[in-house]
Amino acid sequence: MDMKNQLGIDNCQRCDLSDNRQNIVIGEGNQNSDVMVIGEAPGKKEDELGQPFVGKAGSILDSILEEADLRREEIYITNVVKCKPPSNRDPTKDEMESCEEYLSNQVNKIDPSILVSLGKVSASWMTGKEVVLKEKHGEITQSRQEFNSKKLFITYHPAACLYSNGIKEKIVNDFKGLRTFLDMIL
Amino acid sequence: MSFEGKIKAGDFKKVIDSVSRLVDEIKLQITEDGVQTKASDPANVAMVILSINKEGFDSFSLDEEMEIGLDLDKLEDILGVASSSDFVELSTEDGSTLDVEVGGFEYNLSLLDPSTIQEQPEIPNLDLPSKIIMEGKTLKKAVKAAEKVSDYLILVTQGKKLTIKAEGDSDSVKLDLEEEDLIEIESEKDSRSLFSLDYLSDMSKSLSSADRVEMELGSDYPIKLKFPIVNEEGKVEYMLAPRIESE
Repeated sequence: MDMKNQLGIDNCQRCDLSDNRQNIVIGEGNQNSDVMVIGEAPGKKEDELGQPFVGKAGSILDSILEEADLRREEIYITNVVKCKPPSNRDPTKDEMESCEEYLSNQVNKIDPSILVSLGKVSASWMTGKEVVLKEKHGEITQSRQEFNSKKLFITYHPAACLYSNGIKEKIVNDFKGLRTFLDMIL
Repeated sequence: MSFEGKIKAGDFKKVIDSVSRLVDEIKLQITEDGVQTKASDPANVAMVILSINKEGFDSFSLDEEMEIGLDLDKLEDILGVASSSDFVELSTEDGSTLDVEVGGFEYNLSLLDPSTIQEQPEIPNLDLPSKIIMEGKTLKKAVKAAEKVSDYLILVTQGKKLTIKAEGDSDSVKLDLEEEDLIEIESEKDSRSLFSLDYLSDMSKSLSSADRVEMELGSDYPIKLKFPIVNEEGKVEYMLAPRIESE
């Protein structure tokens, strides 16, 4: 059974994001992975194709993973909310709450060794605390109970590389730290 | 590009010993601040981060930052001829050889090509809930006691108490350390992790003379052990992977 059926997400109308979506972007990748990457929300390209991280940010993520000796096909990738917010805005608290059960069930089913939050929205939602990325990027902490208190690795969203110089190097170094951690615990 | 440094042999022996517990070869960065290295053991189970400020040296001069490759076994052999109160004088012109003057001997050592040594690991930044400061000798004693009955150690924090225990097939040992037995204990939540005594035993030998060892602990997370060396002008930090209990 695919993840869409397992989550019972087909034709979800829990929030207004369902009004303008083309596709529900559930997630994709290795469902037995030790690493589950969680972005913020689908963008335009993701909405069109129904796949996460396939736009510009996706290409950047792929190159970051490669530099840190991680392969995209080895990990599972999803977002906090499964439908595209209008005008590429951050998802609201209500929208994230509406989607929380889906994400929580995904975490349960995949049962990774570690969750990876990409960006402030994801990190703050997964920890239940306001995260300042400048201080917390590269840190391994614990997620909320709703996500089984799993280990959570925090870093910038790859899209940040499009707006800010020097961020990519920081994300790559963060992911290299994650690689070291995985080598230690797996 | 040249470097000259003079340091007490006793201090330098401890520095080299703390790293050689995990690896045989290191890349050593020499900068205007001092010397630094980080390395993980071949099995990626343990890691060491070492830094010594230039103030930890009796004299220190450098005209350009450099990275040298050191064979620690060879260096330890050489330092074996020195007494603790001797001074070791180190110098290199180009990073290909190291002159070591110690105990009246003048050695000229070939250095390793740093590009042939394992890449330095990027160290993960762990946010661990339990932070304990204790004397090094207390931890060493507990590790020694545990080795008699098991090959792994269990560390548990409950409130302001640290319990160190080991459970073998037929025997077990336990040491409860209350707040008054420790220098400090802060725990946001209770922790419990298991660690291989093979590694902890080696690390505890290195940290046994430290007045203060900072331990950071979580549940099924790596442990961090940090302690000062070279009269507080340097520090060593170990990180050791947990042994995950099978369910």
